[in-house]
Amino acid sequence: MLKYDLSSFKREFSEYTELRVQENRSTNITLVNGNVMGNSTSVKSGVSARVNKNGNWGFASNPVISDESIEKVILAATENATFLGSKQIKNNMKFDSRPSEAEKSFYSEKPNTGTKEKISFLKNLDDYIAGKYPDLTSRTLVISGFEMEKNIITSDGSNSYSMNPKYHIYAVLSKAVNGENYELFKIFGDRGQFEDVFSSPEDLYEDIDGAYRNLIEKTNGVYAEAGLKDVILDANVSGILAHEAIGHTTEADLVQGGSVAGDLLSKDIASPLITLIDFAHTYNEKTCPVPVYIDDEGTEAEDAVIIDRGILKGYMHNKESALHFGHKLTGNARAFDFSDEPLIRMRNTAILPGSSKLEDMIASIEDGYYLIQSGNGQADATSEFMFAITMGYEIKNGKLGKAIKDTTISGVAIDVLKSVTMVSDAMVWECTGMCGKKQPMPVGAGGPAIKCKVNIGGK
Amino acid sequence: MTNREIADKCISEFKSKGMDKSKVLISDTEVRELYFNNGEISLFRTTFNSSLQLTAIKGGKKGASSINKTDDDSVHKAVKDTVALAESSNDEPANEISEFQPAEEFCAGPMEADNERMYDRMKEFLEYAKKTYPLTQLREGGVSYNKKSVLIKNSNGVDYQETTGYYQFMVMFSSKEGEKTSSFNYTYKLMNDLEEPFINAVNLKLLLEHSRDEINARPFDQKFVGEVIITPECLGSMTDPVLRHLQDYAHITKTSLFKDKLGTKIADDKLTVRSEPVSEDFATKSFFSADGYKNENVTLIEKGVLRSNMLTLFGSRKTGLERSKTDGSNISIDGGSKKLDEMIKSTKKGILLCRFSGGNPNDNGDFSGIAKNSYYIEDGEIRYPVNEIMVTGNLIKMINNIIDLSEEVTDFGFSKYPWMKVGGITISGK
Repeated sequence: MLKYDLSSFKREFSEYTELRVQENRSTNITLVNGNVMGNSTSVKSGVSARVNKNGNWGFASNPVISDESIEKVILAATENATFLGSKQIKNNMKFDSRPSEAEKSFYSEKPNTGTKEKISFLKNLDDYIAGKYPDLTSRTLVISGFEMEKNIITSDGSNSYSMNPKYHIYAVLSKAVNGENYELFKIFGDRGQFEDVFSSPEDLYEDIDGAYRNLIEKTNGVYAEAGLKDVILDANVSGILAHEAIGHTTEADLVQGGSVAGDLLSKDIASPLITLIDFAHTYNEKTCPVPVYIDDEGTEAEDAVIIDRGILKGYMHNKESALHFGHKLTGNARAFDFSDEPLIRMRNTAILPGSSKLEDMIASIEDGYYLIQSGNGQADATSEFMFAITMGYEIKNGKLGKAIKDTTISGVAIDVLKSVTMVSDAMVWECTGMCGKKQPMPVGAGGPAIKCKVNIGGK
Repeated sequence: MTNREIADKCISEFKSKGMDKSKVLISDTEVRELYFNNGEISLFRTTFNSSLQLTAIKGGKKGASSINKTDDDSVHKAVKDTVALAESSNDEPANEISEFQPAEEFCAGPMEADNERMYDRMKEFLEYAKKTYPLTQLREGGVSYNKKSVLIKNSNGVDYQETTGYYQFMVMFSSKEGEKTSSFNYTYKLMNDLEEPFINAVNLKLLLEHSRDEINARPFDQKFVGEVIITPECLGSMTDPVLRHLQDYAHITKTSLFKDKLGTKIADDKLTVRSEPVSEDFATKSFFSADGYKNENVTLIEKGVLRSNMLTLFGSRKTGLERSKTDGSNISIDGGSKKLDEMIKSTKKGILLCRFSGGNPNDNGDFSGIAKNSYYIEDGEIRYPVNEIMVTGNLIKMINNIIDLSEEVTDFGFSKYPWMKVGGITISGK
């Protein structure tokens, strides 16, 4: 645990200042065909300060955490802001402020699982797969853990401590058929340390069986027919739609940079069935996958309602963008490493569930696709998005047909969300990947199954 | 204590704790960055960091850990943790460290940042771009000075040290007129000095002109199999997945599309791909690999023939294939014999693919994604910018169906790419 009382350093602040002591820890154990190919840990920690002086930002960091280095970092950040100030005159920034104090830690209360036990866990899972599915070309199992621990104090009165962990197991199954390779991955995991996320490898067997069945279906899969199609995006997939299609477009720095969302505030941009919120930390009285209580600028985090029943209601903000737009602070400023400055980042971005049943949604499509697993994605200032589809099925006359080969879907978010005609009543959250935007960042995403029209790649 | 003394101490501690072999990699980094947002320089950032990466092997059991501290207590704990990881691991005979090679030290690039020049060049670029491209929003970017000193030592006596420095310029932009917005685009360049104005870097002027035109991009409503001219900015994203099939994971899992293909033809005769980590032609250098071997410049694919995989020591021992003499940095594709203009003129129907936003290709090399910042070509002329257009194809078929490579080659400082024209790509609109 890296808990550091920073309150005494406030006396060193001469300007608007954020001071952060942070440690990121990661664990990686990789098993390929039963052999341990990776067994490593990484710990990165240090102190950073960001200072705003006469509208110019200065930032400095140091890996050494001591009273002396903290004082030096505050001074260096102030000097960097002064250097910029000596070159350019800017208006002083009078930020809005919503300071708070909080301590939120998700350390497990269970006994620590050692590396040996984690390797045994993977071995057990691998033995199960190897024994039951000897026809696989290769099996890769990875335990990937990431923990972010932060102490923050700001000149406007915030003082916070947080520890957010997430642990996942990635299973990649490969099979060669007629000289062609097919791959399917399955991800297990959630917010929390290993002990709180995983109990027993046997708990994962059923889902592994499902992944194997999907892989076999894929080996007999067909290419999707390219073009604009009716699709059902499964609940496992709609989170990435919320994140890529609308989330990025409504980050206020992208709006300032010219994203289409800049001209659409209070306008109708989606079906009335769509409500999209970037949750700070809690949804339906449950803690979200990546809870943020106080952001890295010291703002008490609040939910940012982006779309309310089809109407664009707001953006995600840091202090500077909230000042620019004259909007309320949301608490979306987050930094990845101790040496990174806070940027506007999503937290837990989700489309809220509706009232339709998945089976009725599938039955309503004459010729389209049911897309159940996604890969990487990307957004754009135009709101044109894309993401990879790694598992899906044809829908013919209201019934599931053949599996499809890996493909990509794309669309202009506003057109796609306006085309939504059904939203399912069940919602799924995930926090598997890292969002990339100058720095990586753990984010949560969620949503129900959605019926809409998207452009699908294929033949 | 110097980094060399810290490394020696770690190796000695590993030995005393019963480890057979060990490797220590220590680096110190310095970054000075001027960053702009929405056309205004907003942040000056100075960061210092260190990294201590430890590897220990006992029998075939390996543990690895990394921290960013080099004080006594932290180092001692990291050694202890690494030993515990090794002891908890499984026997893997492929785990090994590099054998003894004579010690060497290397140095390349600027050793000190010129903060004043960085600011002046950044300001000059922002003012020029704002004046010349008033519809273009310079969303974010900056110039940074990056210095890194790396020492690698192992228990076989390997002792290499390199100190390298370079400047990096990056800009991301989109254009807007009324309510119409173009797709964002970006480019970057790594340099050893700040002699040249940033606006002259890579193809930046062309990209900024394109961005302005792309405000009026039209949705594409055709579907056909045609020719695609891939720009240097985009080519790396299309060929990197091909090169992944030369690396450890693909060969170890036997999913490489180039399994048993060494010395045989895997691509069109026009394709030559090199990895040149120690070439003077690049702004960045990598003198030795993380394995602890001195890097050499290597031709990976020569006139379509596979000449080298990109296997690490572990990958080599695991597969029985030869270890690569390069760590895979500084990738270049040789230019061809046609001018870009001629390549466009000879295109009957296709697109100029300027950015690819797509899913990772599957194991068979099938890819699909959106053609961003791209243009429709018909009867030898670039007609108009397009949006909502997808391209679908297969990487292996693509590198075997190269129609032309341009004479012009763009130098990004850590990679060099020409324009590449390929056939057989499915291009589809809404």
